[in-house]
Amino acid sequence: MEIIKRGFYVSLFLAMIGLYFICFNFLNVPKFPNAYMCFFFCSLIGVGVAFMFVLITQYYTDYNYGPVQSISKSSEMGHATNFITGLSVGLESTGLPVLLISTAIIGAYYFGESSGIVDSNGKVLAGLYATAIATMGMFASGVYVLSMSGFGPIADNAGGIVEMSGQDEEVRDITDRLDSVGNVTKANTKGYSVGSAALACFLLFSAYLDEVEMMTGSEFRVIDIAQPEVFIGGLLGSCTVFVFSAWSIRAVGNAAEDVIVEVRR
Amino acid sequence: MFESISAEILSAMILGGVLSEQAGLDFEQKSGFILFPLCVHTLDLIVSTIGVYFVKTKPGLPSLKSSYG
Repeated sequence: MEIIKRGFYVSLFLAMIGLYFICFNFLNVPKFPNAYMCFFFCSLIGVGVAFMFVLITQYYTDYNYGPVQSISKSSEMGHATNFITGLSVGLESTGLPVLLISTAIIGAYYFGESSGIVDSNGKVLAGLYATAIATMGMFASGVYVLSMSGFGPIADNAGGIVEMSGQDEEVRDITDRLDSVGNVTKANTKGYSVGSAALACFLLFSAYLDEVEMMTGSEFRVIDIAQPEVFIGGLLGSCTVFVFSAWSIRAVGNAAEDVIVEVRR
Repeated sequence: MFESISAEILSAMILGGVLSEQAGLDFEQKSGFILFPLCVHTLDLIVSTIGVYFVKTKPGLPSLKSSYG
């Protein structure tokens, strides 16, 4: 995992440098001299989100960290507690990514507004485009993450072949470890694509609203989900359901474990 | 995944077009704003390919006893 992540860091670092040049060449508007720097910071937010997603997914799926260890610990008690803890960890793992996406959206939005691009009436623009740039920054190493996810099934199949062909214990040890790394990287891509889908749906909403306004020429903003605050409210609201059910399910699991320990004594 | 990426490129291009239209930029800058997402993805391909070459390991590394991180 450390070796795979090293390649990821390299591509993230190169992506940051490349993004600076692309921002400088493509978004440099003489009328608004600060704009390209602000957009560059927005893309840096995106790069940071991609990095944090990898860390969060590793925290929730790697066997060196708390969540997976709590599942394996509760497996000592029996099937039911294993099931309950697994469910609670799964539900709880929605919380951090949603918080991360919300901060990214709102940070990029206000960074973009501070870029100082205004229309002829002096209205502040560029907030939405800045969130689009943040998503682009998140995808600035997307191909690497996709190839990371390709590693998962390959290691899995290798483990299957080794097991069925009756190899030595030693070989199986290696493929088991590769398999667990592969699971982490696979989960990684899922977190990544879900996060980018959340950002993309924000962008699609606003792009849709823009298109309709252009076509009809009239205001079309009755329920304005393209306001970042409204959108984040929706995201956080749906995430609290999962997080609080996770916590209450975990409480039930803990109580059940204590009961089982008492009964077995 | 591919679907969400392409949707994202499209929406970013639309937003860039609308923004540059409203800000009243001239043609060259407009095309810069619209082509920016495509260019970022080109960068993505190059950068990730370089990153993949940094994934190297030797037999026995990391050692089986240590945690792999």
